[in-house]
Amino acid sequence: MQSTQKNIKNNDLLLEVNNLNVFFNTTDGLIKAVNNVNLSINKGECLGVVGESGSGKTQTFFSITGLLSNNGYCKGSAIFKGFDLISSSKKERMKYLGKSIGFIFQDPMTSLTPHMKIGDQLSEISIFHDNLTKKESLKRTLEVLDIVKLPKSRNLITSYPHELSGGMKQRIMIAISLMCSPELIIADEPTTALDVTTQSEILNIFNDLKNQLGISIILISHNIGVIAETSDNIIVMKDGSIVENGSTYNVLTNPQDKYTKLLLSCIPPWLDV
Amino acid sequence: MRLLKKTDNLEVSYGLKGRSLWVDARRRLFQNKAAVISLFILIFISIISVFGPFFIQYGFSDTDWNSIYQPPSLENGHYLGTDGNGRDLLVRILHGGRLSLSIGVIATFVSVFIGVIYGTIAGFFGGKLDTFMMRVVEILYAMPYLIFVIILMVVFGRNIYFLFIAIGAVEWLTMARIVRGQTISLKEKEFIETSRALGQSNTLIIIKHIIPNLAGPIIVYITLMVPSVIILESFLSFLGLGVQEPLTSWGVLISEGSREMETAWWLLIFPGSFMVITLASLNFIGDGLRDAIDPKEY
Repeated sequence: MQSTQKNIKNNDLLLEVNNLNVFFNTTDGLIKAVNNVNLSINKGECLGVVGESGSGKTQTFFSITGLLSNNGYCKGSAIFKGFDLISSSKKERMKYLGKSIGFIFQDPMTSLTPHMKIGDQLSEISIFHDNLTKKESLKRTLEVLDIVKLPKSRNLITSYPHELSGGMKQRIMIAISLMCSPELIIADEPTTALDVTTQSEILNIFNDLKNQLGISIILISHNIGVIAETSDNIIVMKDGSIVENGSTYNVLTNPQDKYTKLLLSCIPPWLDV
Repeated sequence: MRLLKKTDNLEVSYGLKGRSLWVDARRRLFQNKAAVISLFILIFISIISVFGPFFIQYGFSDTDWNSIYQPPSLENGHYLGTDGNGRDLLVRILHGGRLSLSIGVIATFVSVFIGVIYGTIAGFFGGKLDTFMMRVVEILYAMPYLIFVIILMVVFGRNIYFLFIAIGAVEWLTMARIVRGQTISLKEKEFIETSRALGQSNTLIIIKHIIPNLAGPIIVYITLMVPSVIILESFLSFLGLGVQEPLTSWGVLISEGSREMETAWWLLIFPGSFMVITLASLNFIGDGLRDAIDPKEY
C-alpha cells in the first residue's frame, strides 16, 4: 500500500493530508475523533471514503475545510497545491473555500437559503470570489446548470428552493460548488437523502465532472455501492483511523483488513459490486 | 430578481415565475378577512390623520369662545364637540393621531434597528460575547422603565424627541432577545454551514442569509410592538411626562377627557374609540401576518 501511494506521488498531487488528528473538547473530557489520517488525491481522481457512522470520515474533511464546531480542533497538515489549509488563518483559507475547493453536503433540502432565488444563490458565489459582474455571473450560472444537466435552466434561476425536488436541489448544490471552476470537490454523503434513481443520476454527474472536466472528487459515503461506481481509490475508516486503502478494485475484490471483509459481507450477495 | 430583469427578460419570455415565500404569505394574508379590513381601517385612519386637519376650518389650538364644552353638533362645524377651551375635538384627535402613530412607527423602528443588530451579533458569535451582551440586556430589563424615562425627562428636559428615544431605548430589549434566539437556531441550519464551506465572510452571512430569514418573526413582532409603544406614550402623557400643550396625542386627549367625563362624555369617548380601533386593527394585522408567514400555526 505504501508503495502505491508513493508511485502516485509522481503524478499531479492535489491534496495531501499528513498525520491529521481531530479532537473534541466535551464534558466527558477530550475525545479523539480522527486518529493519524494520511491520504492523498491526484488531479482528476476520485477518492471514496467509506465507514460507518461516527467513524470520523466527515470530521476529517470538516477539519480540512475549517468547518469543525467550536469545541473541536485539529493537528497535522493538509497541503492543497502547496498551501497548508490547517495552519493557515481563516482569511487565507476562505480564498480557497468555494473557489478551488467545493463542498457538497448531505441534505440538499436544507442546504439552500429558503428566501433567495436559485439564480441569486448561484451567482452570489462567483460575484464574491471572482469579482464578476451580475451579468457575467448569470451567464456562468446558465453554463453550470447545463453541466449538471438541469433542463429548462432558465426557468430554474427564477424559482425558489421550496419549488424544487430533492434531486434538483442536490444538482443545484453541485452547480454552486462548480461556479468558480474548482479543482477539488468534497461531497459529504451527497446521495444519502435521495432515492435510488436520483442517486444514479447524481453519480453520473460526478463521473462526468471527473472524466470531462478533470475535477478531483472526494466522495464520502457509507454506501459501498455508491463508492464502487465512481471512485478510483478507496479509504476505509473505522473509529477515526484508516484501516485499509488502495485502488477500488483491489480493496473490493481482495480485502486485507478484517473490518473491510465484514463491511463487504454486509452487501447482499445478489448485488454484484 | 433585479439581477435577472436587468439582463434578460426571462420571466416574460418563459411565462413562468418563481413564487417566493412572500408571495404565498401575501396571498394567505389577503384571505384573512379580519386582517384585510383592519388594514383598510388603519390606512384610512392614517390618511385622515395626516390630511384631515387641512380640510377642517378650525386649527388644533384655536379657541372658539362661542362654543365651550359644546357637545357634538353638525350645525357649527364642531362635529365631535369642543373641549373646555373651545377647541375643536375632531381636529385635535386627528392631530393627536399624527403624533401617536408617528411615535408608534418611529420608536418601533429605532428599537427594531438596535434590537436586530444587537441580537444577531450576540446570537451569531455566541460564547463569551453573547453572555456579556445578554447580561447587559438583563440588567437594563431589571431597571423599572418608568424611572428610566422619568430620569431621562428630568435630565434632558421635556422634549418630544426624547420621548421617541426613551421609548425606543426601552422597547429594543425584547427585540434583541427574540432576534438572538432566532439567530441561534438559524446558524445551526445547513445553509449557513454551506455558506461557510463556500468561503463567505461572517458579515456577508449575517446580512444575506440570517437577517432576511429573520424577517418573518420581526415583522410580526413589529405589528405587536406599535400598539404597545402607542400605549406607553399614552401612559407617559397621562402622567404628564409626554407631549405638552398645545400639542396633543391620543394619550393626552384621553387623560384630559377622563377628568371631565361626567360633564362632557364626548371628550373621552371619541379619542378613546380612535385609539381602540387603531390598536385592535394593528393586533388583527399582527395575527394575520403571523398566520400568513408561519402557516404551521393554523
